[in-house]
Amino acid sequence: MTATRYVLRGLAHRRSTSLTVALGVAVGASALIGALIVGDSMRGSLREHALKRLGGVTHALIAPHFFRAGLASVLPHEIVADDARLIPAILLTGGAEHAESRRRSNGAQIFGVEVGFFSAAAPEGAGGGKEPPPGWVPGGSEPEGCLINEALASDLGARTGDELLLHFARPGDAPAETLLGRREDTTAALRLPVRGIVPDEAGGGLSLRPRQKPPRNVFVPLLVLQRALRRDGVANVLLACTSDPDRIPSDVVTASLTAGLRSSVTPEDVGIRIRTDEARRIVSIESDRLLIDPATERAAEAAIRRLGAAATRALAYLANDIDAAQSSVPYSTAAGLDTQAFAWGDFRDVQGRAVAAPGDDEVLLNAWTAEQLGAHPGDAVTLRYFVSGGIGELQTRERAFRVSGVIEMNEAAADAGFVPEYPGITNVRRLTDWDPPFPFDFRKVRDVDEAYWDEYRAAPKVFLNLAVAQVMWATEPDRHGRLTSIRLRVPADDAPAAFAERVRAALTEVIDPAEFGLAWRDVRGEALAAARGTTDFSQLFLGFSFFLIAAAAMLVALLFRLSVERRSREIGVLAATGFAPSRIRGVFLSEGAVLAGAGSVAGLLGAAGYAWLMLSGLRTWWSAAVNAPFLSLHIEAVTCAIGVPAAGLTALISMTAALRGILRVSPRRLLSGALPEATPDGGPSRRMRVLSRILPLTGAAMLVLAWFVRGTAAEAGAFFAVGGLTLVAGLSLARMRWSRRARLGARAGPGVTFALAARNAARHPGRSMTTVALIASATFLVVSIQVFRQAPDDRDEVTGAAGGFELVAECETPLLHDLAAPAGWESLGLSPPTRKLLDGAQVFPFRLLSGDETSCTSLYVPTRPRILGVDERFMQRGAFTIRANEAPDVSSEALWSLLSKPLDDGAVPVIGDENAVRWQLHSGLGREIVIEDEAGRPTKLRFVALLKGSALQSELMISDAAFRRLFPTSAGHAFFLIDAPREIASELGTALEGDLRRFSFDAEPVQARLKAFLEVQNTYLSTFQAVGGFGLILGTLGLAVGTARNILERRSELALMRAVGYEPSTLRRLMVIEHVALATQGLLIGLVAATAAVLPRLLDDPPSLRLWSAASVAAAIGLVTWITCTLVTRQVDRSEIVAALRRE
Amino acid sequence: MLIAENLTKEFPRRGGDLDILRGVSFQLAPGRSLAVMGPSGCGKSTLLNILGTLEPPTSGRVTIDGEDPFRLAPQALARFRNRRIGFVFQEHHLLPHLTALENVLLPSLARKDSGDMSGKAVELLGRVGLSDRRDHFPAEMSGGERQRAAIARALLLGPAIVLADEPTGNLDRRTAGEIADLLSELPRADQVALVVVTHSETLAARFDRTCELIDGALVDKAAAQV
Repeated sequence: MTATRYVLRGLAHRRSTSLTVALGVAVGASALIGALIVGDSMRGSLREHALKRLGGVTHALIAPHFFRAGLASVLPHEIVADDARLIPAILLTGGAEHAESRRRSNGAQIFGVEVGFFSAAAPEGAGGGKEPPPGWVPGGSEPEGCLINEALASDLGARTGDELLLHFARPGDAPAETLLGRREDTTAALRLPVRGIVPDEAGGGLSLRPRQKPPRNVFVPLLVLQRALRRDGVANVLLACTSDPDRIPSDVVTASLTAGLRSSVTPEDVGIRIRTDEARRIVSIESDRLLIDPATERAAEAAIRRLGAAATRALAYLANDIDAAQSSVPYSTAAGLDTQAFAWGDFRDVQGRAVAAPGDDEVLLNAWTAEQLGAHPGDAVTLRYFVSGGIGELQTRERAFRVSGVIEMNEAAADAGFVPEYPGITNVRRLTDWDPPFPFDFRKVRDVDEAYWDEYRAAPKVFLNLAVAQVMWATEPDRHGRLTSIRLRVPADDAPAAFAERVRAALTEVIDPAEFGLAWRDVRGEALAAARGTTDFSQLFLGFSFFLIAAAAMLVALLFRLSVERRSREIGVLAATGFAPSRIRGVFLSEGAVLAGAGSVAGLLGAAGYAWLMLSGLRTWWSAAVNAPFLSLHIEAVTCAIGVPAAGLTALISMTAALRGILRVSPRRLLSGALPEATPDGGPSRRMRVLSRILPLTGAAMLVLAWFVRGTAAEAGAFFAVGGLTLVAGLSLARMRWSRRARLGARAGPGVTFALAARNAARHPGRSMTTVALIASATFLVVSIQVFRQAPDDRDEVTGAAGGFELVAECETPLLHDLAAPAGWESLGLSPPTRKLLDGAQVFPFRLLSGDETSCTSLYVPTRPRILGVDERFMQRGAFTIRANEAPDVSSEALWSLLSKPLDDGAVPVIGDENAVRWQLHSGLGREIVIEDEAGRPTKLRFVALLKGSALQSELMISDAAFRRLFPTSAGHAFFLIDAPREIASELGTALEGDLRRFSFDAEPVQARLKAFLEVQNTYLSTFQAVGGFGLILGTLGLAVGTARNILERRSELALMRAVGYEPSTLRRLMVIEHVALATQGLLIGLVAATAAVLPRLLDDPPSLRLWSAASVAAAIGLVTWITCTLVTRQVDRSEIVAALRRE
Repeated sequence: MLIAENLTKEFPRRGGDLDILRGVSFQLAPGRSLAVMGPSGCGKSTLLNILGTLEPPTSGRVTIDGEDPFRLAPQALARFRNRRIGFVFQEHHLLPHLTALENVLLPSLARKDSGDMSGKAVELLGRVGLSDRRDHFPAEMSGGERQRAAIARALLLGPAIVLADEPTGNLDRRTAGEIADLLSELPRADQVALVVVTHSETLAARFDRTCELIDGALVDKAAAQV
């Protein structure tokens, strides 16, 4: 015989007991491995979902501006894969509206695509590979239309043939926040019939950014969208698609695409224009955005250095008036020129002498203007001009100069080429035909002005020092630029056209597309990275399941101990025949290992079931926590490989603990069949007595500490410390009481039934304590969590969770007028009733960089977070509860102002919601995250303050100035917080949505947003509670097993009592009292621990309803245990007196 | 040689310790047997447990073949018990999930270096008349057969002493006689020192020497009668 045989024979002999223990292990294993599988499933589902949204797209170039769509065809296709395709598209966000029902869906993705898009973006392998039926693209017999995806069709209730209205932003010719930036006519609308609904697997669900909610997609023929944008042949997106994304490593593909882009991109693709003036032998480098942005200026300067060419720099602007003492000239172009322009000697006075560059307070007038003004050198003139105040109205400023000279109207001076082309101004026939984006008074235009326009077009009438011009007119040089043209003189030995070509070639060489926002993104890699999830769901559900696992471990220990106790004589025999204690332990643990192994493997099946149940819960009952209906079961081999041994080890540790003590009992007692704990001990040990005194005192001290740390990050730690200590103290006291009762015997208890019951419960203090501990822990968890459930903070205070705001709004097309000011209301065309409603409200507008959601409602890792630009006015409001590493008496306003305080190392100060920063971004106060600015440069954001439980979980906030610096082309306000009387808030939201429909304006109550955030937290608590409830079931099961075992062991005793005249009902009552007493004790200890743990919070914010709710949970626990005891003790009635006595 | 020197055993009780053994001394050479008698609760089983090293004496000394087992560490004590001492209990204490042969082999499992003792176990079963019951489980055997299997188990590793606690207490007269025959042959056949605790005068008469435990002291039966 071998030890293995001995073990296996023993297990087979006690198969029912073995099975019970193995089942206990399986339950624990199910919870442990199941929690890990939930993590696998979350990651797997997120990954699958994100990749499904991408279809065949692996890389994308998403530019902040348009480039020629033909760029796709010059990029070498073979760099991706044999079947790879590069497809151009326009991607805009906007609103879609059903033309008939007026149902709207904001945040729609409007794709401008060509034929072939769907078969490339959704390859055959993934269920796509099909093109929609022809007829929706121009050129067919039907008028063009659009395709929509299923989610949008469902939102709008749209079917094929219905008409949709699409609203989206139309980019202007100049930066919107400059003088020539258009503030009106910034939106475009398209009315198109729906030609079909594209299923998700056929490309309808395309989204380049991982997101849980299905995107709302509209597909419009590229030509149609280009026409609506008034931009022929352009795209703003290139997509690299393949049906085999894993064939080549993604970083290799990214590098190849980047190299391909760099060699293919032209100056025109990044908005650089090269204009040649053959007559004047000048080649100008300009921007199609009017102002030369810093990246273009850097590229131009690099090209000039490379060419060794002579160049001058100019900033052309518009002077509303040039006033002299006697006269005035309206609407004149003015040019700031560097000294090089004058060094060339082209500017001459009326006597033919070269003029010097004007000084800081000087201007040069051309002869025509000097004549009109009657001005001479030395005279004073004043320039009156507009400056853009950012978002809002233009401001008029003026500056006085001295005329330093008058220059003749020669070819060099009378050059309209100083002013870049601007549609609506430079290309019109008459001055009065101007269509400028600023107030223009036609009445001021005289015949002589028209005559000048006829002859000289936009040639500047006044010249000044470039540096002075930049101070006056380049209000945000780092954002929009400080020049309008860089003019190169064609070398004498070169032809202008050839030189222009050399300039173009030099520019092509030096242009770094990334600096212009043209960079390939490995969107597939980003999706996979984001799909790792903001939360490690394995850990989270291990945390949720911890009590369940612990309860299962305790149950395993209880069952194993009961099994071992039944074999006390066997242990005695083994000891008597020379088995050392370690050998006996080895034999029993070998048995335990077999059971743990078998249970853990069996637990795999249970784990899949447990995970399936959790996922079903997350898809349905707890959907508010994750908002991910696409979750499905994913099991990874490595999880099983880790989970099974871990579960087995946990069970084995429990069994080892269960064996403790038994092997210390003398073989003589074991041979007599005495159970280790069955004999009353000598009362509570000294250690227990000390513990029972120290623990409550420590718990009380922790409680005091908890009061002081409430509302801080240490609150959770204090909760567990107070709760845990109170729990352990309660259990120690109970253990001591059992020991005393066992010693004192019948003296305890008021009546004989109670006394006997109490005495019986004390016979196995370990067994009783396991039951009490299980129920106490379950009660503690379930009840305390119930108290932690939160209702939305609906305080109408500035420091409340809503910041005192009633509405939060967003629009897809940013507003370029100030919604906070009456002047802006007029410019935006708000109706009088809306304006009246706004009179009683305060609007706080923000710049918004759309990006990844950072709130707890998102599961994907936010790699490009949504960012708000916060202005001074909002900072001064001091909204929300804000904390920072500053002195406690520093005001909220001052803490918000930290955003404007530069940091020494150049990091950008940022404020975020505490929960979002901690759980979604895994960062904290004083810590940094890195984002990319518009040019793709890594930028450090450092958290200088955090908001507590605010409505701004989805966004990070930086100062308006920092926002403009980092994202220069992002113009206007797209996010709004509105403080309005509660009674008009809803009406105001609806009115604004109606009046600003073209901007896809969408308002919602701040409380709704808060509720959604709290719903996540409360739903997680529900999940925790539900899993805790499973633990309670195990606790109850432990109680039932203990009760049944007690009855079995005491069959003879019960028979004897019946023989001497006890009625079965009395005996049953005895047993019920005994076990309900245990359950009640557990319940009370759990309740006391829960109350102590949540006391600081309760005293701070007495939530009577939550207390009732917690009390009802406790009552339910009590009821369940009472029913369990009653059911189990029914077997008392069925015991046979004679048989039991005979055994005795 | 089994030597007990001045053994005492006290059990703490409220109101004063209870003295069970008061200076018990005797010697028993290999091949010799001793029957210990006395009323219930007089300490017979306690004496046997001390001799079997299952519990230590309060004072006094036990030596078996010149070695004091109570000076050994727990592991060494277990090994000592395994090699030198065989137990036969009133209740056979056969393990229900093992066959007769496996029960006999049980002591060999206590140590990994015991080697294959199957041959010896089969031989012992034959000697106690259970050759045809070797693959039977305890539940399939009579009380006498179980006790014989227990005797075979006690002899497996060639102990120096065999301790039997009321070995016939649960048996009918005929079966008790058979067990008595078996036990009485052991000392000489196996050169073991046999100590038997019993209430049965008939059984006690089969052994070399009979003592009675009176007031915690071991008194030679013959001397007592004088």
